[in-house]
Amino acid sequence: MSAFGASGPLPGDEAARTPARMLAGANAAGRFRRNKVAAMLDVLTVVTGVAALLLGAWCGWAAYRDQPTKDWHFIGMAVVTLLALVQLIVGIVQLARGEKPEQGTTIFVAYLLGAFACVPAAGFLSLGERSRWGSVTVAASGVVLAVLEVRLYDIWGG
Amino acid sequence: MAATRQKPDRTRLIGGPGLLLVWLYGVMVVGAVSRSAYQIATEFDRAPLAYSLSALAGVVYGFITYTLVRGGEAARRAALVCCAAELVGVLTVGTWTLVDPSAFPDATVWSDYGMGYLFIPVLLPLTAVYWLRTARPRRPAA
Repeated sequence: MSAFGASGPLPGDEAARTPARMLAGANAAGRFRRNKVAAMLDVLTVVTGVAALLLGAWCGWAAYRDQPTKDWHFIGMAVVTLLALVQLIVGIVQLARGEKPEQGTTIFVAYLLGAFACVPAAGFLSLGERSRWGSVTVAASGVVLAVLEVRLYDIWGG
Repeated sequence: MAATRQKPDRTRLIGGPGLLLVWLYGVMVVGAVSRSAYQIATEFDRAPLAYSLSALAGVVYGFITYTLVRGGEAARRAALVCCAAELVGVLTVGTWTLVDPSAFPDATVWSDYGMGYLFIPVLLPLTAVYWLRTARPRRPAA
């Protein structure tokens, strides 16, 4: 609760938010007793983030060699998207089981959806751009997805 | 309506590097709009200035994305103006948040020159202005 003291005088609604924060704190304290699905979510977040960075590096390499995205790149995008989809499902299952993300359910779901849509959106764009710039765009989407995964990790409170 | 004009004559703005720009602007639209919508809906009183500025940023990003996708000389000029406005906005809000942090109890998209967004907010308009200037039509407009 010391974090509140540092932020100075609180408006009324801030005080109303405190119980939620305390709940989040209790959730964090019980982290050691987390169930298997929660551990799975953490692992998925890390794996998806790493896979996204690999995809970014791969497509960045293609761009460096002045190549458009090819079939193998699209398979890579499909794999990363599949990981993000599994993460989305596991995240929703966690919410359905009554678990609460540390920074709020809405933000958690929004980031899960964003993470899922990120790479496919760039993939479709690169279909229409048969030059190195299609590869650059997909590479950028990989980096953005990795950033989203870091944020997801924080939001969930891992 | 603009749609009645011959489409092939429009300067295509989403070819090559423009594609990357459109994608990044799309990301910023989603980021800024969803963030400000959520914050304005749930805790507007906490930092009205910050959340309003995020919403404004989202609208500007949305308009730039639209002009880039639409293409054409008028859209190119409109996008140039908006990118300049965006750059001024990022620099102003970025400096403002550093000089007077008390005005911002919560961060905006443009806080600290967009540091929370990997400085994309300050890099995007620079890149976009450069791209839009090179995409100028070769022959003078009729």
